[in-house]
Formats: sequence, structure tokens, C-alpha cells
Amino acid sequence: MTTEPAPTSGEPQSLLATAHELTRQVRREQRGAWFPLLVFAVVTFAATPFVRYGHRHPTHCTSVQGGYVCSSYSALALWYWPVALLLAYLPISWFYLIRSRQRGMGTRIQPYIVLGVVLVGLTTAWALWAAAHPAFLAGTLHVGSGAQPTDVLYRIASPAGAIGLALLLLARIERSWALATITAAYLIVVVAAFDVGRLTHPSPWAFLPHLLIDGGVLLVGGAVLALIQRAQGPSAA
Amino acid sequence: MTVHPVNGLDDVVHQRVRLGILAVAQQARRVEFTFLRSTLDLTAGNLSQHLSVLENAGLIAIEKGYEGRRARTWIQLTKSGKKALRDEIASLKSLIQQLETNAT
Repeated sequence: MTTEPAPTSGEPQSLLATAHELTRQVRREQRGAWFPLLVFAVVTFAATPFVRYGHRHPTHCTSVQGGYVCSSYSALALWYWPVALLLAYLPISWFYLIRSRQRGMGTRIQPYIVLGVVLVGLTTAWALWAAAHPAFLAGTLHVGSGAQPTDVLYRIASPAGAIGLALLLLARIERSWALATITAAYLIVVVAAFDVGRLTHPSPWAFLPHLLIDGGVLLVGGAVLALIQRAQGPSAA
Repeated sequence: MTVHPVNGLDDVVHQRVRLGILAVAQQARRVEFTFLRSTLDLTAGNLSQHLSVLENAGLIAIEKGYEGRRARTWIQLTKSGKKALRDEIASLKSLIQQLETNAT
């Protein structure tokens, strides 16, 4: 039981407001999601030569509307993504660690890193399985009929999906509506851009619009977050 | 008989600076002495006094060490500290609600 004098009506509100304001201030200081966004934008753009010039393995052809649709995969890209994504989490961890030391406060970033690495493992396992079972993939993909639920699932299970899902957790950790909005936009683009230049387009550069859109959203999102944090003051930049 | 919300207030926590320390330490996994001092706008001596009170009550753990040549003091909330902060916030909300009800 307290021995303090009975509180006046303003005191509890004021105390509660102080606690909430301090919590908000620390959250602002902890935010640094612009860095992972920029790192993943670079990783996405850097995939271009691996996808374009990696040796293509045609795996399965099906007859569609009087023609043939063949699925193929680039062996180099298949290995580029897990390696690049895992390596990407190294500078991200380092960035948050250095910031934590410089500013004198910790950030609960470990769950984000762990989820990111786990998702990379899962998407890699799925990609390897799909490459080994091309008939299954060809039988479940839909051509020219808009995105189907299975198509959406395949996109979410892609490296781009793994980046986006982990970023959702980061948005939760940083309690950042701006990051949540950018991530939601990114995931929508990842799913909605499914048919861009896909399958029906014979060009070896057909993948490029997809990569540019995905990487572009990350790049612009990272730049926007960096500007927001810069505008909030030097301590939050 | 209903217990009045003021009975849920803890003397150690129900103090602006100490509540602030707990709120900051709760949000950051660990927080350094100098960050707390600048965030709460306190002198080193004043902050040390409040930290001693919280440490003696078992609400925070203080860890001293070095990073390179620089001495560092890290503060971390204990389980009791997390619970005390939760209870204090709940009591304050309850008290505010009661005061607002009485005012109408």
C-alpha cells in the first residue's frame, strides 16, 4: 500500500503520458529498417546477371492453347538467392549491433534475423523440390487466366516473399506503421506482378521487369523511411 | 469491498523518474546509463540514486563493463521489474478511469 498523498486528478494522466512518450521516443530511436530495405534492394538488383546468364535447365513442357509452355530454372539463380539472402543478414545484424552500441540501447532484432534465416531455408528447400519435380509445378501453374491461389502461394514461397514476410515481423518489432505499409505494398507487388513477362514471353530478359519492380519498391521504401527518420531529427536518423 | 486503485500503486515505481527508467528499459532490451541520463534529462548523481532504489527493489539489474577503453553501465529490467511496470500502468489506467467516473 502506498504512503504517498492521494493523487490529484492530473497526476496519473501525467505519469502515464510520460511513460508512453518515453516508450515512443525509444521506439523512434530504435528504428533502422531503411537499412535492411536498401540491402535487399541491392540483393534483388544484383540477381539480374545470375538469372540472365545462369545456365537454364528446361525441365517440363505442357501443351497449352495449341502451343507449348516449358518450365525452366537457372541453376545459378537457384543458388544465388539463398547465399545472397543469408549474407544480407550479416550486414543487417552488424548495422543494428553498431547502432545499439553507439546509441546505448538494445534492439530486439534477433527474432527478425532468425525468422529471415528460417524463411530462406524454407524457400530454398521449396525451390530445390520444385526443380526436382517439374511436372508438379507445370500441372499447378495457370497460364493466361490471371493469378490463381496456387500462383499466389508460389510467389509468397519465393525469395521475394521470404524478404517480405520477415519484414512484416520487423515492422511489428519496430512498431512502425510506415514499414508495415511499405512491406504490404511490396508483398502486393510481389504477388500481383506474377504474370509480368512470365512464361508466355520468350525473351531471356522476361524476368527483368519483375526484379526491377520488386527491387524498386524496396529501394523507394528504404529511401522514404530514411527520409522520415531524418526529418524526425538527427537522433532518430 | 472493492479495492481502490491507489492500493495497487508501488512507492518504488510510482515516481516519475523511476517509472521513466522502467519504461525506457522495457522498450530497449538493454539500456546504457548515458542514454538514460540524456533521455530523462538528469544529472549522473540523480540518476544513480534512482537506479540504486530500483536495483535494491530487484526491479533492474545493473551490469558494468568495458567496450574498448570506455567504461559502460548497462541497465536491464528483471522479471519483477517487468511485472512492476505492468502493474503500475494498469493501476494508473484504473485510477484515471475511476477519477473520470467520479468527475461525471
